[in-house]
Amino acid sequence: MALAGAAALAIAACASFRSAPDPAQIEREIAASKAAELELVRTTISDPARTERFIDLLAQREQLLKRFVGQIIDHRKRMIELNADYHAERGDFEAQLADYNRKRAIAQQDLVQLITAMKQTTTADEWSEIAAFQLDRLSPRHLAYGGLKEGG
Amino acid sequence: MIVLLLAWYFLGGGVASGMILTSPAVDDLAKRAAIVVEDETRRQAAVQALEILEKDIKAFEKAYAASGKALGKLYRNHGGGRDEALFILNDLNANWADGQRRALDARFTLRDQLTEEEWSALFGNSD
Repeated sequence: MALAGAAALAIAACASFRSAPDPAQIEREIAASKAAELELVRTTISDPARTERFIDLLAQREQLLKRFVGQIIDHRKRMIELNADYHAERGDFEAQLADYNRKRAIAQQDLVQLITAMKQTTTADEWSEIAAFQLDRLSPRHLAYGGLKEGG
Repeated sequence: MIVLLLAWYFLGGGVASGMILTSPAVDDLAKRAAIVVEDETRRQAAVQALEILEKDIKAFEKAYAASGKALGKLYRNHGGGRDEALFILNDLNANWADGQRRALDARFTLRDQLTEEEWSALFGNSD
């Protein structure tokens, strides 16, 4: 599931810098954050119908991230293969990058739509609580690319 | 709204095998290239290509971080943010594509300075 992919990417990201983290620990942390998010949603959104709608949107977010993390992993594997090939042509790289860029743009747009729907399902006060938690513990950027929050 | 899905690297898998293309990763790659390439002229050219790449990456990393802050504010904004977020994402994606092109330039400049054996020593069997 997406957890494993997110953990793998977090490890890959951190491996570029210092020591690699424990993948099982990352998976536990993400699972705990998702459980806490669900509980926050249930206690924050006052209306049961809107609560269920929001939980459905969280499930859609999970599917989106699962799909995109898989695409990132596949892309990285292909880029590593291409780069290792001394005789690889520039056109091969460009085709791979164009395909990945297209998939990333689709994922971004889908995510924007999902977050818009989440806002429309909540009141301003409810969203304030939930958004703060999500940005801190479960931001899509963090889930898709690992534990590095800031550039470089 | 949106804390988007943006990466970190230009080439997605990194120039270095298994690594994400960050400025520290390229710095490490330049150090390893300096060891692998024995010829002084080619070594200097290879390191120079990587230094240029590292500058490009640092500039992108700043843009990436700035976009994250802007998108975070939009994420919190209950009343809107959709169009603004898409604008930021499109801008960043264009920046990203430029970075990819420059990274490819660097990759092939580096490749031209290395023999196949040196390339293999730098990138092969390390993932």
